Amino acid sequence: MDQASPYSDLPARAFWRTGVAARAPLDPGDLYRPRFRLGKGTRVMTAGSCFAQHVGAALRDAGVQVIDTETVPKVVADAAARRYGYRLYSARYGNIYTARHLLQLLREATEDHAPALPVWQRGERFFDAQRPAVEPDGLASADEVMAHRRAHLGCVTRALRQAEVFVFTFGLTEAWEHRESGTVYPTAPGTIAGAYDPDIFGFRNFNVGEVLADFQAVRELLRRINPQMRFLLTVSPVPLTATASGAHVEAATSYSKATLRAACGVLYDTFEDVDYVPSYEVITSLNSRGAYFDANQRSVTPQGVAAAMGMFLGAHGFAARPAALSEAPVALPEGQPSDAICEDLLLEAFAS
Amino acid sequence: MTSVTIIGSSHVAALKTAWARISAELSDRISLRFFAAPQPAYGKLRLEPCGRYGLPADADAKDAVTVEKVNGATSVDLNAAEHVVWVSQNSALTFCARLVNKLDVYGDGPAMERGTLVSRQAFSAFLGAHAERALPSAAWGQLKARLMVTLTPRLSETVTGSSDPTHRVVAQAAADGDRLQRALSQYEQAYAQALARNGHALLPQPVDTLAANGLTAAAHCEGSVRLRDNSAHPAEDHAHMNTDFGERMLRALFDRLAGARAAAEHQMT
Repeated sequence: MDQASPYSDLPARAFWRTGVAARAPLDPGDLYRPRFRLGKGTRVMTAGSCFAQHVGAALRDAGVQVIDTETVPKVVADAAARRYGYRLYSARYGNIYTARHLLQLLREATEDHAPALPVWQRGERFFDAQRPAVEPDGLASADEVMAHRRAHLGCVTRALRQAEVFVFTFGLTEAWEHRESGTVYPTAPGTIAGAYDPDIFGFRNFNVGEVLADFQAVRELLRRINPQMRFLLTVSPVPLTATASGAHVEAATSYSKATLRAACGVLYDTFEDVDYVPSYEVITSLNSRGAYFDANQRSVTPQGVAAAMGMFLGAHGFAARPAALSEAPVALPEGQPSDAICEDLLLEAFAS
Repeated sequence: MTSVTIIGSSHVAALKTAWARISAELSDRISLRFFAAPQPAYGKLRLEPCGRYGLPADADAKDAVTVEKVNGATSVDLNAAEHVVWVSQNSALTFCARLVNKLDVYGDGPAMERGTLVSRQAFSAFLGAHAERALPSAAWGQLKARLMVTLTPRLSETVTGSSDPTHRVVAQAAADGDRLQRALSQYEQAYAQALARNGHALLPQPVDTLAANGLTAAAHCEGSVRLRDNSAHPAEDHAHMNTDFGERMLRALFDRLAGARAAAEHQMT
């Protein structure tokens, strides 16, 4: 062929045959090239769906300064600390599955935006509706819930002031919201606490435009706090436990992940301060031949986590320590990854 | 006659000297044997599946000399007695002090901005998890003798005036009202429950040996002696307790054993 093709000078990674099919099984290759480098002195704040816990743990193990403003002493056993929501993220907000929930938390911490129905009940116990899993047995009163929430929001604010890089793992597009106010919750009412009333709560399945708008608002808010703030985005590879969309859960998962991945792509293309880490691709790649999912075809295996985080850390010049990722045994329902706290798994109980 | 073997580290010295003092009045009811070693030899003592406890055959000669000198043997058959009392399990004093210094527990008085606000449930779970980690290994559950554990005596309240930086954490917590005492008491309850689930029992430090801040009253630290040769500990030793303390521990132990025996006899009738 005499005529030049725009594909003729592209590297091997640009072609499926050489970039994927010819790659050794379970080798993530050079899927990820960081847009900006993290250093050991970089102050990183983490949040997101339960898969984000791995990112924080990997960075911490690599010696990066992962911010934690809501700490318990190091002598506290890891399993006990994590069971109560400590050591998971930069403050004790638990899993944040949607961009809308993240935006809501940041507004609550920085703009006095109060979520509706902040306290849910189960029996005689009271739960923080915005993070019901961090106190597994609930608290004695609504006043106590609010006292803990005020203290927590102070910790969130302190973390935001310290952060140079904000790491967020998009987990879901589906959420339950308070119809009147638009307040969203990380779990459906009636799952951990609260009660489902269809006149009060409604189902939302955010589309790509809504996810984009929410995260752009997050970015603007965070850059008002620190104009130099940069963002590292990932998409959780963990499929939905259940969907309320009416679609088959597999189709709903595909929609959700595609929406989140598309939003990340647009954010990456639009903003120089946004980087995307393709951990979703590492875990779900045909090259991995399904080896990174557990027998339930949902939970990511420790090997999968190690491969994704190894790629991520290696690209930033850090040595991966995958063994550390499989530590911290926590008593969790069957099928849950050994080192991540994921309350969405509780929806399994509703499967007939 | 109730037979007891007391094992442990240098903290056994207080009980040993106390037994020398009171054995005449009790030896018709109690048969007591001691097997203990100061560190580092104590850390090398092992329990064999047959119930023998002592230095392994390949132990360092220096350790063997120490253990032999203190006990007249390098191992003991723990199943020879009805009860084994293990002195010197970690008291969790430093652990509790770190929690007290860094956490505000909701409802535990006004928040003093020590650090993180935690719920009572979380605080209790932290103590419980620590207690689980401090349990004797499963091998101790195979003993025919009943195992009772005592925690290391809490440091003496004299530690609050110490310039030794290693004691700073405890001194700071002890200065914070009775929070350390309450945390330690809660820990002891958690540890007692964890031991009971494993078929063992806890012999707590008698309350009348404690100062208000939760540490051991200073009087119990004066005149403590070494296990190795009965020589006096230096004045800046805040960890080892004296014969009076040992006597209180022994009497608490004997009361406990007598109570258990009475209860067992009552059940049989």
